[in-house]
Amino acid sequence: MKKFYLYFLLTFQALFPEYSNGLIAEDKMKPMSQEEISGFEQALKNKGETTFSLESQFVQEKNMEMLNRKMISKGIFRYMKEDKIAFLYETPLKYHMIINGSRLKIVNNGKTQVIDLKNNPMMKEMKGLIEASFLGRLSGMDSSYKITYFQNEDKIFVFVVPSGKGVSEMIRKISVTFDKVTLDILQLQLDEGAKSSTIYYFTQPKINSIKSDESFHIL
Amino acid sequence: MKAFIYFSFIFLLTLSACSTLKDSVRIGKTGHNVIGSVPHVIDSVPDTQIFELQMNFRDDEFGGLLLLKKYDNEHYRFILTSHFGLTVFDMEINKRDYITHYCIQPLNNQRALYLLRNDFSMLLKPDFFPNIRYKIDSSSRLIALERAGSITKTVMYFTGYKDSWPEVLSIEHPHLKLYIKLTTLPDASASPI
Repeated sequence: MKKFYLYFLLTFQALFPEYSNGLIAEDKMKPMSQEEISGFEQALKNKGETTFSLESQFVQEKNMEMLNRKMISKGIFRYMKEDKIAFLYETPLKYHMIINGSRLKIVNNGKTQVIDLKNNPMMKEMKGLIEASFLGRLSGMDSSYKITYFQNEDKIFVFVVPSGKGVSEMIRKISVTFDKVTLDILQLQLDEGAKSSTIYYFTQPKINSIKSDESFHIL
Repeated sequence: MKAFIYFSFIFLLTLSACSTLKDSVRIGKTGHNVIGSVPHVIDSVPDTQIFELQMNFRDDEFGGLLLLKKYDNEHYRFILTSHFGLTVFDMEINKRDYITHYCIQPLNNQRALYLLRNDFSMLLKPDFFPNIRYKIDSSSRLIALERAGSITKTVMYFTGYKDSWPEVLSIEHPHLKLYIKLTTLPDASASPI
Protein backbone atom coordinates (compact mmCIF):
# COMPACT_ATOMS: atom_id res chain seq x y z
CA MET A 1 0.00 0.00 0.00
CA LYS A 2 2.80 2.32 0.92
CA LYS A 3 4.48 1.51 -2.36
CA PHE A 4 1.41 2.56 -4.28
CA TYR A 5 1.10 5.74 -2.35
CA LEU A 6 4.75 6.59 -2.72
CA TYR A 7 4.88 5.87 -6.43
CA PHE A 8 1.75 7.76 -6.86
CA LEU A 9 2.99 10.87 -5.31
CA LEU A 10 6.45 10.66 -6.71
CA THR A 11 5.36 9.86 -10.18
CA PHE A 12 2.50 12.19 -10.63
CA GLN A 13 3.11 15.16 -8.52
CA ALA A 14 6.13 16.06 -10.49
CA LEU A 15 4.19 16.11 -13.68
CA PHE A 16 2.40 19.30 -12.93
CA PRO A 17 3.79 22.74 -13.27
CA GLU A 18 3.52 26.18 -11.90
CA TYR A 19 4.66 29.54 -13.03
CA SER A 20 6.97 31.54 -10.94
CA ASN A 21 5.94 35.11 -10.28
CA GLY A 22 8.79 36.25 -12.48
CA LEU A 23 7.46 34.36 -15.44
CA ILE A 24 3.97 35.65 -14.86
CA ALA A 25 5.23 39.21 -14.90
CA GLU A 26 7.39 38.60 -17.94
CA ASP A 27 4.53 37.20 -19.95
CA LYS A 28 2.19 40.07 -19.06
CA MET A 29 -0.72 37.81 -18.52
CA LYS A 30 -4.29 38.97 -18.28
CA PRO A 31 -7.18 37.03 -16.80
CA MET A 32 -9.48 35.47 -19.37
CA SER A 33 -13.17 36.35 -19.44
CA GLN A 34 -15.77 33.65 -18.89
CA GLU A 35 -16.58 33.80 -22.59
CA GLU A 36 -12.94 33.36 -23.55
CA ILE A 37 -12.60 30.43 -21.13
CA SER A 38 -15.64 28.73 -22.64
CA GLY A 39 -14.24 29.25 -26.13
CA PHE A 40 -10.87 27.85 -25.09
CA GLU A 41 -12.43 24.81 -23.46
CA GLN A 42 -14.60 24.11 -26.47
CA ALA A 43 -11.59 24.39 -28.78
CA LEU A 44 -9.66 22.01 -26.56
CA LYS A 45 -12.55 19.59 -26.59
CA ASN A 46 -12.73 19.72 -30.37
CA LYS A 47 -9.02 19.11 -30.62
CA GLY A 48 -9.28 16.22 -28.17
CA GLU A 49 -11.93 14.57 -30.31
CA THR A 50 -9.63 14.39 -33.31
CA THR A 51 -6.45 13.57 -31.37
CA PHE A 52 -5.97 9.84 -31.14
CA SER A 53 -2.30 9.93 -30.30
CA LEU A 54 0.40 12.43 -29.48
CA GLU A 55 4.16 12.16 -29.33
CA SER A 56 6.59 14.88 -28.38
CA GLN A 57 10.08 15.45 -27.07
CA PHE A 58 10.34 16.76 -23.53
CA VAL A 59 12.95 18.36 -21.36
CA GLN A 60 12.46 18.17 -17.62
CA GLU A 61 14.09 20.90 -15.60
CA LYS A 62 14.30 20.61 -11.83
CA ASN A 63 15.06 23.83 -9.98
CA MET A 64 15.96 23.90 -6.32
CA GLU A 65 16.49 26.88 -4.12
CA MET A 66 19.70 25.50 -2.64
CA LEU A 67 21.28 24.58 -5.95
CA ASN A 68 22.75 27.01 -8.40
CA ARG A 69 22.23 24.54 -11.21
CA LYS A 70 19.29 22.89 -12.87
CA MET A 71 18.88 19.16 -13.11
CA ILE A 72 17.97 18.28 -16.66
CA SER A 73 16.37 15.09 -17.92
CA LYS A 74 15.20 14.44 -21.48
CA GLY A 75 12.95 11.97 -23.16
CA ILE A 76 9.85 11.27 -25.20
CA PHE A 77 6.26 11.74 -24.12
CA ARG A 78 3.55 9.62 -25.70
CA TYR A 79 -0.21 9.62 -25.35
CA MET A 80 -2.72 7.34 -26.99
CA LYS A 81 -6.44 7.49 -26.61
CA GLU A 82 -8.17 6.80 -24.23
CA ASP A 83 -5.93 6.29 -21.28
CA LYS A 84 -2.40 5.45 -22.33
CA ILE A 85 0.41 7.75 -21.25
CA ALA A 86 4.16 7.16 -21.41
CA PHE A 87 7.16 9.14 -20.21
CA LEU A 88 10.25 7.57 -21.74
CA TYR A 89 13.33 9.14 -20.18
CA GLU A 90 16.49 8.79 -22.21
CA THR A 91 19.00 10.94 -20.31
CA PRO A 92 20.65 11.01 -17.84
CA LEU A 93 19.13 7.59 -17.27
CA LYS A 94 16.86 5.31 -19.21
CA TYR A 95 13.68 5.24 -17.18
CA HIS A 96 10.22 4.50 -18.50
CA MET A 97 6.88 5.17 -16.89
CA ILE A 98 3.88 3.82 -18.76
CA ILE A 99 0.25 4.11 -17.74
CA ASN A 100 -2.26 1.92 -19.49
CA GLY A 101 -5.75 2.07 -18.02
CA SER A 102 -5.52 1.32 -14.34
CA ARG A 103 -1.99 -0.01 -14.41
CA LEU A 104 1.37 1.66 -14.15
CA LYS A 105 4.59 0.11 -15.41
CA ILE A 106 8.02 1.34 -14.37
CA VAL A 107 11.07 0.14 -16.29
CA ASN A 108 14.33 1.02 -14.62
CA ASN A 109 17.73 -0.55 -15.20
CA GLY A 110 16.11 -3.35 -17.14
CA LYS A 111 13.82 -4.19 -14.22
CA THR A 112 10.08 -3.94 -14.68
CA GLN A 113 7.59 -3.16 -11.97
CA VAL A 114 3.84 -3.13 -12.50
CA ILE A 115 1.53 -1.37 -10.09
CA ASP A 116 -2.23 -1.69 -10.11
CA LEU A 117 -3.77 1.72 -9.61
CA LYS A 118 -7.30 0.49 -9.01
CA ASN A 119 -7.14 0.15 -5.28
CA ASN A 120 -5.55 3.48 -4.61
CA PRO A 121 -7.85 6.51 -4.63
CA MET A 122 -4.90 8.88 -4.41
CA MET A 123 -3.29 7.34 -7.45
CA LYS A 124 -6.55 7.51 -9.30
CA GLU A 125 -6.84 11.19 -8.54
CA MET A 126 -3.34 11.85 -9.77
CA LYS A 127 -3.91 9.94 -12.96
CA GLY A 128 -6.98 12.09 -13.52
CA LEU A 129 -4.86 15.18 -13.04
CA ILE A 130 -2.37 14.07 -15.66
CA GLU A 131 -5.02 13.24 -18.15
CA ALA A 132 -6.83 16.49 -17.52
CA SER A 133 -3.67 18.48 -18.10
CA PHE A 134 -2.50 16.64 -21.15
CA LEU A 135 -5.83 16.08 -22.74
CA GLY A 136 -7.35 19.46 -22.02
CA ARG A 137 -9.98 18.27 -19.59
CA LEU A 138 -9.15 20.72 -16.87
CA SER A 139 -12.61 22.17 -16.66
CA GLY A 140 -13.98 18.74 -15.87
CA MET A 141 -11.93 18.42 -12.71
CA ASP A 142 -13.71 18.32 -9.39
CA SER A 143 -14.06 21.13 -6.88
CA SER A 144 -10.93 20.19 -4.93
CA TYR A 145 -8.93 22.10 -7.53
CA LYS A 146 -9.12 25.82 -8.01
CA ILE A 147 -8.53 26.62 -11.66
CA THR A 148 -7.79 30.03 -13.13
CA TYR A 149 -7.15 31.04 -16.73
CA PHE A 150 -4.84 33.75 -18.06
CA GLN A 151 -3.54 34.72 -21.47
CA ASN A 152 -1.06 36.88 -23.25
CA GLU A 153 -0.58 37.53 -26.95
CA ASP A 154 0.29 33.98 -27.97
CA LYS A 155 -0.25 31.73 -24.98
CA ILE A 156 -2.92 30.56 -22.58
CA PHE A 157 -1.98 29.78 -19.00
CA VAL A 158 -4.04 27.53 -16.79
CA PHE A 159 -3.23 27.47 -13.07
CA VAL A 160 -4.43 24.64 -10.92
CA VAL A 161 -4.25 24.93 -7.15
CA PRO A 162 -5.08 21.70 -5.34
CA SER A 163 -6.92 22.02 -2.06
CA GLY A 164 -7.37 18.33 -1.22
CA LYS A 165 -5.26 17.40 1.78
CA GLY A 166 -3.09 14.67 0.25
CA VAL A 167 -2.17 16.52 -2.92
CA SER A 168 -1.89 20.05 -1.58
CA GLU A 169 0.66 18.99 1.03
CA MET A 170 3.06 18.27 -1.78
CA ILE A 171 1.92 20.42 -4.69
CA ARG A 172 1.51 24.10 -4.12
CA LYS A 173 0.55 25.07 -7.63
CA ILE A 174 0.32 23.54 -11.08
CA SER A 175 0.45 25.41 -14.37
CA VAL A 176 -0.11 24.41 -17.94
CA THR A 177 0.87 26.63 -20.87
CA PHE A 178 -0.93 26.20 -24.18
CA ASP A 179 -0.06 27.62 -27.57
CA LYS A 180 -2.97 29.94 -28.29
CA VAL A 181 -3.22 28.92 -31.94
CA THR A 182 -2.40 25.22 -32.02
CA LEU A 183 -3.53 24.52 -28.43
CA ASP A 184 -0.44 22.35 -28.01
CA ILE A 185 0.85 22.08 -24.44
CA LEU A 186 4.15 23.92 -24.37
CA GLN A 187 5.04 23.69 -20.71
CA LEU A 188 4.00 22.13 -17.47
CA GLN A 189 5.33 23.42 -14.21
CA LEU A 190 5.02 22.04 -10.72
CA ASP A 191 5.69 24.10 -7.64
CA GLU A 192 6.33 21.90 -4.66
CA GLY A 193 6.12 22.53 -0.98
CA ALA A 194 9.84 21.83 -0.86
CA LYS A 195 10.80 25.20 -2.36
CA SER A 196 11.55 23.59 -5.66
CA SER A 197 9.88 23.40 -9.01
CA THR A 198 9.94 21.12 -12.01
CA ILE A 199 9.26 22.39 -15.51
CA TYR A 200 8.52 20.15 -18.48
CA TYR A 201 9.06 21.69 -21.90
CA PHE A 202 7.35 19.89 -24.76
CA THR A 203 8.59 20.30 -28.33
CA GLN A 204 8.07 18.79 -31.77
CA PRO A 205 4.55 17.50 -31.15
CA LYS A 206 3.32 14.91 -33.62
CA ILE A 207 -0.42 14.39 -33.67
CA ASN A 208 -1.83 10.98 -34.61
CA SER A 209 1.58 9.65 -35.62
CA ILE A 210 1.55 6.59 -33.33
CA LYS A 211 0.13 3.71 -35.28
CA SER A 212 0.35 0.93 -32.72
CA ASP A 213 -0.21 0.76 -28.98
CA GLU A 214 2.67 -1.68 -28.60
CA SER A 215 4.80 0.70 -26.57
CA PHE A 216 2.04 0.97 -23.96
CA HIS A 217 1.74 -2.76 -23.36
CA ILE A 218 1.86 -3.82 -19.75
CA LEU A 219 2.33 -7.50 -18.99
CA MET B 1 5.52 -17.08 23.59
CA LYS B 2 7.68 -14.96 25.92
CA ALA B 3 10.45 -17.54 25.73
CA PHE B 4 10.27 -17.50 21.93
CA ILE B 5 10.61 -13.72 21.84
CA TYR B 6 13.46 -13.84 24.34
CA PHE B 7 15.40 -16.47 22.38
CA SER B 8 14.72 -14.68 19.11
CA PHE B 9 16.12 -11.52 20.59
CA ILE B 10 19.22 -13.32 21.90
CA PHE B 11 19.66 -15.00 18.52
CA LEU B 12 19.39 -11.67 16.73
CA LEU B 13 21.90 -10.08 19.07
CA THR B 14 24.31 -12.97 18.60
CA LEU B 15 23.88 -12.86 14.87
CA SER B 16 24.40 -9.15 14.69
CA ALA B 17 27.53 -9.35 16.80
CA CYS B 18 29.23 -11.61 14.23
CA SER B 19 31.01 -9.78 11.47
CA THR B 20 30.30 -11.04 7.97
CA LEU B 21 33.39 -9.31 6.59
CA LYS B 22 36.34 -11.67 6.28
CA ASP B 23 39.79 -10.25 6.99
CA SER B 24 38.27 -7.05 8.30
CA VAL B 25 40.18 -4.48 10.30
CA ARG B 26 39.26 -1.83 12.83
CA ILE B 27 40.69 1.54 13.71
CA GLY B 28 43.26 1.41 16.48
CA LYS B 29 46.78 2.25 17.48
CA THR B 30 48.30 -1.15 18.09
CA GLY B 31 47.55 -4.82 17.57
CA HIS B 32 46.54 -7.21 14.84
CA ASN B 33 44.09 -6.19 12.11
CA VAL B 34 44.26 -2.56 13.07
CA ILE B 35 44.56 0.51 10.85
CA GLY B 36 45.27 4.10 11.76
CA SER B 37 42.69 5.76 9.53
CA VAL B 38 40.07 4.87 6.95
CA PRO B 39 40.08 6.04 3.34
CA HIS B 40 37.06 8.05 2.25
CA VAL B 41 34.64 6.83 -0.42
CA ILE B 42 33.05 10.10 -1.53
CA ASP B 43 35.08 12.73 -3.28
CA SER B 44 34.99 15.84 -1.13
CA VAL B 45 36.09 18.23 -3.87
CA PRO B 46 33.00 18.75 -6.07
CA ASP B 47 30.43 21.24 -4.91
CA THR B 48 27.54 19.03 -6.06
CA GLN B 49 27.40 15.36 -6.91
CA ILE B 50 24.54 13.29 -8.25
CA PHE B 51 23.90 9.60 -7.73
CA GLU B 52 21.28 7.31 -9.10
CA LEU B 53 19.51 5.79 -6.10
CA GLN B 54 17.83 2.39 -6.04
CA MET B 55 16.05 1.53 -2.83
CA ASN B 56 14.49 -1.81 -1.96
CA PHE B 57 12.51 -2.19 1.22
CA ARG B 58 11.05 -5.66 1.61
CA ASP B 59 8.97 -6.05 -1.57
CA ASP B 60 8.89 -2.37 -2.46
CA GLU B 61 11.23 -0.64 -4.87
CA PHE B 62 11.95 2.99 -5.49
CA GLY B 63 14.31 4.72 -7.89
CA GLY B 64 15.42 8.34 -7.97
CA LEU B 65 18.30 10.78 -8.02
CA LEU B 66 20.26 11.73 -4.92
CA LEU B 67 21.97 15.10 -4.87
CA LEU B 68 24.82 15.73 -2.52
CA LYS B 69 25.78 19.32 -1.98
CA LYS B 70 28.83 20.27 0.02
CA TYR B 71 28.94 23.46 2.06
CA ASP B 72 31.89 23.46 4.42
CA ASN B 73 33.83 20.79 6.18
CA GLU B 74 31.48 18.08 7.38
CA HIS B 75 28.48 20.14 6.35
CA TYR B 76 26.42 18.59 3.58
CA ARG B 77 22.94 18.47 2.16
CA PHE B 78 21.26 15.39 0.72
CA ILE B 79 18.24 15.73 -1.53
CA LEU B 80 16.43 12.77 -3.01
CA THR B 81 14.16 13.39 -5.97
CA SER B 82 12.08 11.00 -7.99
CA HIS B 83 12.96 10.62 -11.66
CA PHE B 84 9.99 12.89 -12.34
CA GLY B 85 11.38 15.68 -10.28
CA LEU B 86 9.48 15.48 -7.03
CA THR B 87 11.52 16.03 -3.90
CA VAL B 88 11.32 13.02 -1.59
CA PHE B 89 13.47 14.36 1.21
CA ASP B 90 15.87 17.20 1.81
CA MET B 91 18.26 16.67 4.68
CA GLU B 92 21.16 18.73 5.98
CA ILE B 93 23.94 17.08 7.96
CA ASN B 94 26.71 18.75 9.89
CA LYS B 95 29.21 17.45 12.44
CA ARG B 96 26.76 16.57 15.16
CA ASP B 97 23.30 17.48 14.01
CA TYR B 98 20.91 16.97 11.16
CA ILE B 99 18.00 19.03 9.91
CA THR B 100 15.16 17.68 7.83
CA HIS B 101 14.12 20.52 5.54
CA TYR B 102 11.47 18.49 3.80
CA CYS B 103 10.22 14.95 3.68
CA ILE B 104 7.17 13.48 2.00
CA GLN B 105 4.62 12.13 4.42
CA PRO B 106 5.09 8.38 3.85
CA LEU B 107 8.76 8.66 4.82
CA ASN B 108 8.44 11.32 7.48
CA ASN B 109 9.25 9.04 10.35
CA GLN B 110 11.84 9.93 12.98
CA ARG B 111 13.43 6.47 13.00
CA ALA B 112 13.61 6.26 9.21
CA LEU B 113 15.20 9.70 8.97
CA TYR B 114 17.67 8.88 11.75
CA LEU B 115 18.67 5.73 9.89
CA LEU B 116 19.24 7.74 6.72
CA ARG B 117 21.24 10.30 8.65
CA ASN B 118 23.47 7.53 10.03
CA ASP B 119 23.94 5.97 6.60
CA PHE B 120 24.84 9.25 4.96
CA SER B 121 27.15 10.18 7.82
CA MET B 122 29.05 6.91 7.37
CA LEU B 123 29.29 7.46 3.64
CA LEU B 124 30.80 10.87 4.18
CA LYS B 125 32.95 9.81 7.09
CA PRO B 126 33.46 6.05 7.31
CA ASP B 127 34.72 6.35 10.90
CA PHE B 128 31.68 8.37 12.00
CA PHE B 129 30.86 5.64 14.54
CA PRO B 130 33.48 3.87 16.67
CA ASN B 131 32.29 0.28 16.34
CA ILE B 132 32.89 -0.26 12.62
CA ARG B 133 34.95 -2.96 10.92
CA TYR B 134 36.50 -2.26 7.54
CA LYS B 135 37.76 -4.24 4.60
CA ILE B 136 40.60 -2.66 2.69
CA ASP B 137 41.93 -3.98 -0.64
CA SER B 138 45.54 -4.32 -1.73
CA SER B 139 45.45 -0.79 -3.16
CA SER B 140 44.49 0.58 0.27
CA ARG B 141 40.95 1.34 -0.88
CA LEU B 142 37.93 0.80 1.34
CA ILE B 143 35.78 -1.90 -0.23
CA ALA B 144 33.39 -2.68 2.61
CA LEU B 145 32.46 -1.69 6.13
CA GLU B 146 30.20 -3.18 8.73
CA ARG B 147 28.60 -1.55 11.72
CA ALA B 148 27.32 -4.01 14.25
CA GLY B 149 23.95 -3.44 15.73
CA SER B 150 20.80 -5.32 16.46
CA ILE B 151 18.06 -4.32 14.11
CA THR B 152 20.02 -1.52 12.47
CA LYS B 153 23.11 -3.51 11.55
CA THR B 154 24.68 -1.84 8.52
CA VAL B 155 26.91 -3.27 5.82
CA MET B 156 28.26 -1.12 2.99
CA TYR B 157 30.12 -2.19 -0.12
CA PHE B 158 32.12 0.11 -2.37
CA THR B 159 32.86 -1.19 -5.85
CA GLY B 160 33.80 -0.13 -9.38
CA TYR B 161 36.65 2.12 -8.34
CA LYS B 162 37.58 4.75 -10.92
CA ASP B 163 40.00 7.58 -10.25
CA SER B 164 40.24 6.74 -6.54
CA TRP B 165 36.47 6.79 -5.97
CA PRO B 166 33.93 3.96 -6.12
CA GLU B 167 31.18 4.23 -8.73
CA VAL B 168 28.78 2.03 -6.78
CA LEU B 169 28.03 2.41 -3.08
CA SER B 170 25.71 -0.20 -1.60
CA ILE B 171 24.11 0.17 1.80
CA GLU B 172 22.49 -2.88 3.36
CA HIS B 173 20.38 -3.22 6.49
CA PRO B 174 19.84 -6.96 6.36
CA HIS B 175 17.63 -7.22 9.43
CA LEU B 176 15.38 -4.46 8.14
CA LYS B 177 15.50 -5.84 4.60
CA LEU B 178 16.41 -2.37 3.41
CA TYR B 179 18.90 -2.08 0.57
CA ILE B 180 20.10 1.15 -1.02
CA LYS B 181 22.37 1.32 -4.05
CA LEU B 182 23.99 4.55 -5.15
CA THR B 183 25.65 4.82 -8.54
CA THR B 184 27.60 7.90 -9.52
CA LEU B 185 26.25 9.84 -12.47
CA PRO B 186 29.09 11.90 -13.87
CA ASP B 187 27.04 13.40 -16.70
CA ALA B 188 23.84 14.02 -14.83
CA SER B 189 24.16 17.32 -13.10
CA ALA B 190 23.34 19.36 -16.14
CA SER B 191 23.71 22.97 -16.93
CA PRO B 192 24.41 26.09 -14.92
CA ILE B 193 21.47 28.43 -14.69
